[in-house]
Amino acid sequence: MCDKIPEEKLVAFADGDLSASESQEVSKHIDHCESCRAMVEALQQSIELAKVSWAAEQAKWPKWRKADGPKLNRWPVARVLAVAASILLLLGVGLVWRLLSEPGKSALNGKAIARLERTVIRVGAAAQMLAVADMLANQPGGRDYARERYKEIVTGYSDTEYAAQAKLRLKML
Amino acid sequence: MSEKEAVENVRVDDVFRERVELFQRVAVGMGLSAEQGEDVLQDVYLEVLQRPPKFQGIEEAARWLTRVTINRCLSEFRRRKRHGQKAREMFQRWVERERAQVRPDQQVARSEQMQAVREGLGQMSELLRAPLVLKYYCGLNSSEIGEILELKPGTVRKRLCDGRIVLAKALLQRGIRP
Repeated sequence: MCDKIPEEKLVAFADGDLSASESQEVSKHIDHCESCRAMVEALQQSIELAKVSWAAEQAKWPKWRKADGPKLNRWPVARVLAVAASILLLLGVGLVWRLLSEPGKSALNGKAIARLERTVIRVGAAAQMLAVADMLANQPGGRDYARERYKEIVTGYSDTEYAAQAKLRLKML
Repeated sequence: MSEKEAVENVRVDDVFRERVELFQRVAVGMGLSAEQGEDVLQDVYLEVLQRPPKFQGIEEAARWLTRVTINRCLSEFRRRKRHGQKAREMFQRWVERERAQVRPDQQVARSEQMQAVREGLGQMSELLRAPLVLKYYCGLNSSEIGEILELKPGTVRKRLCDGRIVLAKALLQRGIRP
């Protein structure tokens, strides 16, 4: 590319943004300047190819109905379940370890297993309820539902650590 | 309802849903796949629902959403550090799609050109890429781009010009005549 026409002007020419007189001036120049002509052609061609590649990528996107917004249920639900499963696993492992390590209780008896099961189920239920309420609290119309669930955790699962978290959420709602 | 009330009642999540195609274009243009882009837009939407900011009007809300989308795309890039790999993957998919439709001689030429442009886009600085996408794929003018990216219109025009030159030179430097 020669230096007689500034790059900015060539770009504006390629985009058709120049005035008639300026456009004529550039036209005359590129008639006999091969490097500038090649640059103008490359400017036009490259942006068209970029648009084609962007459009091809966008065609792969799932269609969203405007009324719905993004499909919010894909990763949040997966994440909620993953978190809940992790909590349950950790709790289960922790409780089994505690029971096994207690003096005089080298093996789990029936009573201990039943206690373990009850605890895991209650804590797990509280964890799941809190996770679902958190997710719904931010959805349109979900705030009331979330408030009820938080209250339920505070009153019905007060022996779990999630009661304190639910209490905090209620204050923030 | 008075105009003031109408302005105060702008719901950002409504604006997001109404203009979701614009934000898709931003994500695509910034180089994200459909899956990555969907995750990014979900994050933006959740942020809007969790902490809905207040705006003076719909256009201001749309500009803010566009800016948030761009920033999220950049974070996604930095997290994955896959610019080069992504460009190659996208190019391969494009080649496979086009192969069935174009004559062999045209195929070679177009593939080379597209590869050059893909590489040009992949290597382009984020500072140049964002204005380019907003103008040529989202149809915004320099002033609107300046408000979104918090740049002066003159700076936007300079970056647009630089971005175009980078892409064009990507074609020319590979010895490809358009």
